Amino acid sequence: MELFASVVNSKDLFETVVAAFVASLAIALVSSLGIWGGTKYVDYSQEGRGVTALLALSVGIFGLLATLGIIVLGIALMVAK
Amino acid sequence: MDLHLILAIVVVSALAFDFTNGFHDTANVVATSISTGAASPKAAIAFAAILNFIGAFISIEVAATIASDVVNQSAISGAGSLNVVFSGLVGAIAWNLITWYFGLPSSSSHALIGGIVGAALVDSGSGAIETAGLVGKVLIPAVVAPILAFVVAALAIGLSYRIVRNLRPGPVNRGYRLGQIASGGLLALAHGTNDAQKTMGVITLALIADGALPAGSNPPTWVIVASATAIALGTYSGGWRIIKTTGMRIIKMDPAQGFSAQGAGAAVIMASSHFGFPLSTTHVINGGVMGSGVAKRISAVRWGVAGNIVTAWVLTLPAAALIGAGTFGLTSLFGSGPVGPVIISAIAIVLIVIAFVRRSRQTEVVDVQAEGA
Repeated sequence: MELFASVVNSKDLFETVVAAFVASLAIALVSSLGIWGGTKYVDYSQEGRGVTALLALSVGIFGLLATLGIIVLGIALMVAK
Repeated sequence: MDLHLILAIVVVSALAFDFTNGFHDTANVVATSISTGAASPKAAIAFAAILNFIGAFISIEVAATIASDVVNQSAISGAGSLNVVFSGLVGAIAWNLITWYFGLPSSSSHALIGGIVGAALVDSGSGAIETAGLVGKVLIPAVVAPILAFVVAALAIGLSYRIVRNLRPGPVNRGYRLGQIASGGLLALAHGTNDAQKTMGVITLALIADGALPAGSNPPTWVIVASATAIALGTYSGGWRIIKTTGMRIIKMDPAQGFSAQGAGAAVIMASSHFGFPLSTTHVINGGVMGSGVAKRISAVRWGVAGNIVTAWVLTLPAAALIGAGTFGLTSLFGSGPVGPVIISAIAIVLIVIAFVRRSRQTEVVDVQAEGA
């Protein structure tokens, strides 16, 4: 373990693992919410459920914007160093 | 004069390696988008080439690792050391082309590092190797990264399936195909960032060995531009054989899986580049593809193909090191001047042309057979 610690910058490696986990799961979550919202909006609209459709649409828009936000944030963090 | 001639050969070889890196790794970036129908092959490759070029300008952390944490800069100087860099590049290019010939997605990065380490070991013994840097910044991340991509992609696709499981498949697939344009773009950007920097690092190392740059220097602007251009041109040329292996032979992918594999791959590569880990984009994206397949069901992954890929991964470092060491031995027979690199370059060019001609003839035969079937 000491040998491992002497050659590996454990903090950087740990932060890499955490960043990859958080970014991947966050983008999977928000993009899927975007797709869910968009699809449900169409379904509810066809069923004539206007208010529910609008709620689904807002989830979809949130998902889309959050996806774009995570991508931009990721690139900004890379460029910042 | 002799030293500058060797330097020129090393720079050209490094850019040739960068080209083969782009050519070889196009598959990593575009295979999933093409196999799920998210983008046409031509559009996907052109898009990836442009983003590879842009990505090369984002960071120089990985270049610094290659230039200073693999080989001991103070142990290298003069023509002999340029021959070490040259021999390492020959080892990497040779291994890239061998694995391309057989359609195996192996790591260009590990081939490069293996080639240089092999040549440096023959030249100066173990004292020329930065063991801590090699283990801590290359070998351990090399093991961690594909496992990380595998796990992250599996979790991401599990989460995605949970959210969209009761929806109509048509709009869901369309949505993820659209998402793949973004995730594929991000992956191409990450690939350009991590991989083009390896060539920048090698050219910087050669310039330091030549005395044109002081030890500890960052890559000059012309090196960054040349490396970005070479990898983008290589990507645009595309390696269809490996695209088929990554995109179609490991698993039969749906758009959600493609999106998850690309998203996980981009996240792992970008996070690693940020901290200067020169990892293999090949290992990462293939780990992601396998992870997204396993999450659906374990039998979805064609384990025979996956096994071949893992074998190529394991062989890459030692095989490139052996070729690098052998090339250095051959080069040394002609002294430390430019004669050795000139002769080896000529032989390498002839072998590359033969390999391309043989491969294209075999492809033509397969195409004719497919048309006749």
